[in-house]
Amino acid sequence: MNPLIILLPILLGGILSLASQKYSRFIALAGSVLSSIVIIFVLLGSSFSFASAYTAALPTYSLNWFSLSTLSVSLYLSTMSINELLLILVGIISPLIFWYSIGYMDVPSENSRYYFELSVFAASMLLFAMSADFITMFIAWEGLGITSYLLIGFWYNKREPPYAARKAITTIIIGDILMLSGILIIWTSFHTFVFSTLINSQATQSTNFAIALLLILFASFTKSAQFPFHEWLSDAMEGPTPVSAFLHSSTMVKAGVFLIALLLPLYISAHLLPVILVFGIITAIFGVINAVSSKHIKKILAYSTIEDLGLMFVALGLGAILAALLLFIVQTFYKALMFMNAGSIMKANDEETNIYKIYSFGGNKTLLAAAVIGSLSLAGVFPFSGFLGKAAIDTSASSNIMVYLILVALDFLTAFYIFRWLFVPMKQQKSNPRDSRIGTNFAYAKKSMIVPQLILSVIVIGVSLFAFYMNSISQYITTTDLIIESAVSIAGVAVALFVFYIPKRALFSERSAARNFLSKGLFVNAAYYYIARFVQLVAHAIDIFDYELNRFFYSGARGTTDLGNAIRKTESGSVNLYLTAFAVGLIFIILILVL
Amino acid sequence: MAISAIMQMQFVYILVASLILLTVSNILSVFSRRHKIAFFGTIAFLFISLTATALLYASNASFYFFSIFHTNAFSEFFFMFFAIAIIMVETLSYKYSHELPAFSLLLSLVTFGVFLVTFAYSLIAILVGLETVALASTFMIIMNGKRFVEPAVKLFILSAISIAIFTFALALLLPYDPQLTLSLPGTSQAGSYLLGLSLILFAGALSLDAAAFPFNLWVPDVYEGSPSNVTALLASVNKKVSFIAILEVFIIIFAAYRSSFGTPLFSLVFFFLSIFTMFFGNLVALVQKNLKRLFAYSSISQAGYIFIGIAVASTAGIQASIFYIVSHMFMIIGAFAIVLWLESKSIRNIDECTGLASKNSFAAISLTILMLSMAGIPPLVGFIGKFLLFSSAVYANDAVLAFIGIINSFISIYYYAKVINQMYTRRQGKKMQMDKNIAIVVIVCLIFVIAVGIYPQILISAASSAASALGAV
Repeated sequence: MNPLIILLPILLGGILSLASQKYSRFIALAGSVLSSIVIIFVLLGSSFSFASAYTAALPTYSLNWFSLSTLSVSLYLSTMSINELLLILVGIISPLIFWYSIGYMDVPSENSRYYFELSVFAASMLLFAMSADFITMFIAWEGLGITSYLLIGFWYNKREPPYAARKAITTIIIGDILMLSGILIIWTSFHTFVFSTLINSQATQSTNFAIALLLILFASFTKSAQFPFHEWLSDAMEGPTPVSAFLHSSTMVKAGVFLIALLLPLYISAHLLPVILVFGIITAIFGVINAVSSKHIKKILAYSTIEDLGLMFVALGLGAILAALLLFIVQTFYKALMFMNAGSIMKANDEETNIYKIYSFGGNKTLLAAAVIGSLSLAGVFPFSGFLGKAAIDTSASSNIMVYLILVALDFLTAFYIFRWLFVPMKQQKSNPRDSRIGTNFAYAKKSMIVPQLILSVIVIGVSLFAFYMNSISQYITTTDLIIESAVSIAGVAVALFVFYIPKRALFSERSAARNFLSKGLFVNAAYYYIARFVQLVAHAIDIFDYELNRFFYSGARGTTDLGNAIRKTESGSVNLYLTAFAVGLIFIILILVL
Repeated sequence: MAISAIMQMQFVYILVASLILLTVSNILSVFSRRHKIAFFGTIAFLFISLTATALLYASNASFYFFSIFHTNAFSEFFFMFFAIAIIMVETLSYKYSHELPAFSLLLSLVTFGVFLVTFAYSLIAILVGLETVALASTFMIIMNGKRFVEPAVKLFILSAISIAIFTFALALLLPYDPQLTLSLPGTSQAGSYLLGLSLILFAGALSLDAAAFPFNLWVPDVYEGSPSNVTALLASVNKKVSFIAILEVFIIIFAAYRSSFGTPLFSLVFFFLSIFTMFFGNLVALVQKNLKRLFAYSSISQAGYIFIGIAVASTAGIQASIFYIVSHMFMIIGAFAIVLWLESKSIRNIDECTGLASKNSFAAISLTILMLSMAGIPPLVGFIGKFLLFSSAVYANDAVLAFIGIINSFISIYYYAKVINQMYTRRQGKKMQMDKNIAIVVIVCLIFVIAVGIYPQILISAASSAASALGAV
């Protein structure tokens, strides 16, 4: 079966949802559910095994797009192994997100636009999951970028979102240029776009190829929010929460990781793994530090996403592709769950985002349970599924003691900050009567927002139960690491408990010197600012040159229109003139032939 | 699926019968003065002929019939698209023609002329076909009233001259081929001045129809003066039929008539015609204020682009020209459909389009897409067409042509953008409703422009098989 059929329902749903503001949510939900069903049918024939997930994705389907003389471009799709994995993940997550959105999006006049953009995003993501060559991948890549931009800036009439969207698109376009350059270098040197051909060609020793791979790596960094391109992701939290749950935690940001995982054999043979490893570690450290200091309910989760992505790159840098994929899978679920939960809390608190000002959960035990399951999983407490990914990465780093120590420290801090996220709002006393709007709406939490969280909670627990049931964990995680990881994460939770929950007054108040320093985001944004200033200076210099050039072109354009006016005079409407022109034309042709 | 020669011949009979019935039904509807019968009869019989041609095309038919016709991928390919274009013109005219039965009758004559030209195996058939198309459209213009006499007479005089010259050119070919078949003359040709003169006259006569510089001066007057549905016909069918004639005459008959350098001589002629036509069309379009004149000049410049492929005279070039002829057919019908509707709302000039986007967003968006396609912006069909044309020029070491073509696309963006700019300038106004028949035509054109732009492979390979059926250069 042609795997492109998968895209059909969801795209159709998106387009049809433009037709009706009122029913757009149901149309879009139906489209995404149908797409997921189609995924099941497409994948029914193929057998899936996680252990072989990393084998190069051979194209199972190709479509001749166009051939212009010598250049022939085809789209290659694959539904094997690793592609199948991402397809399933997106297929599970996307209906849940659409469902959750029904409750979340309460501005009916914007529904059509929202569901259209979200559907186009989901379709791009599915296309990305199936792509087996650079052209298809790049089309999907661009689709992801542009929908991400649109959805971050969705509330365009508020103050912050347009800036956040601009920041995101700037970073993403840097990535697009890098990616395109990489692809073109690969094409000019190897005349193929297909991943598996490249991987099997063994022609990977040349300098050109290493440069192309580096370009593609940095392009992946922009999409997967790796240092130094990570800051856009925390700003992207200005988008609607389902968007954060979908694009900016569980699917889109992992496109870069996915691509590098696909191409990992190339990076191994080009000896570029240390680059991936170093950037992954730096990013993870940045992510954790920012997460510890941030007080924005969604940004903490965003920095945690940055950390997780960094960890995945660490695993890739260690060559442990299966460990990376394990975290890839489990992170999808727990991070989507956490974001949905944060969205519910924000809804109940009148969109307040400061964790020191909001009251979580009220009497809503379901929401609390989901938050606890998500947090335990994110912290990596045994036996919740986050544990699987983190411990597997620890194991893969066990030969490198430096990396291992850093990872253990990060795991400890992860457990600490996520329980800070959980405990600080829970401790909040309702002291200020003015805030009556805040923290009261929990009783009215909508079913469509709660049920997806329950489903995800079940999946979060279920994945790890399944893994233990299959008894295949020992391949990826040694017993020592199991013990160390459990101890470290429980220690982190315990410390958070003693600092934030048990004391009468919180130990680290909202304004402390250390937090103040850390909240600057380690000055990455300041660095962006100086880079931007520098670019502006260059731009000024170019502008002066440009002005002169423009004047030159302006006079050229004036000349052109004047010429047009002069020629127009020949159009007098007189047939005699036209006949004369005919005679002149014949003479003209004769002259051409004679001379 | 192998279809026997007898079956294929039956398709030909169905095609010819449907054309005859088309004419007969329209004659009857002229007497009964029933608009609906004329409309649906025309559409139905055109569809039958379209289906018959499609079946012929699908069965790879290639044979001679009725002694002056032959059918092959080239003729079938073009007849199908012309049938679609004529169906669209008839749809446009449904509410916009006072005398729809008479109009349909003339349209069926145009169809017959198109049939003669596309299926011709004889130069006489081409001559008669061109004449039929030109005469029928002259009457289509003039039947609308006194106001339309002037453009009709202009069209009549110019096409009469074109036919006269064509006939003379034809006569010069007689010593080489008394049958006047559409095939390479058998006898040696090198250095024959008679053949050279014939080539010049053919080039003049057909360039007059195809509106190449300097034979194009009549075009804007006639296009502007005619009712827009007839203009759509003139720009899509009349003009493109003459391109078919050019392809048939020059690529087949004059292919072996080469200069001392070994390049076909006609290629040199079209090289210059192409450059001048592109520049003329685009430069004058820059200063136009009337929408219809703008599109008239734009279609002149587009003819220049099509000539690039003929000037290149390689298989890739011919293929690119064929691709562009078909794609421009859809772009220009869509554009003139919107112009027709705008005229009925008495919007004629570019500056009257202000705020069209707020009055009817569909019209504004579709006109934008069509114009972007004409300017050659990806991922629309115009881009693919221009890419094919320019790349064929580059591969044939005619980079000059490609370069000039690119400069001209550049110029053309200016005047298209001027219209787009006007349409999206904010000015609140009353909403304007678009008629269903026009909307349908515009949607068909849009689907073609976008779908083929995104996935051009089908049309490219169809064009290449048409090019190879025409004969190698």
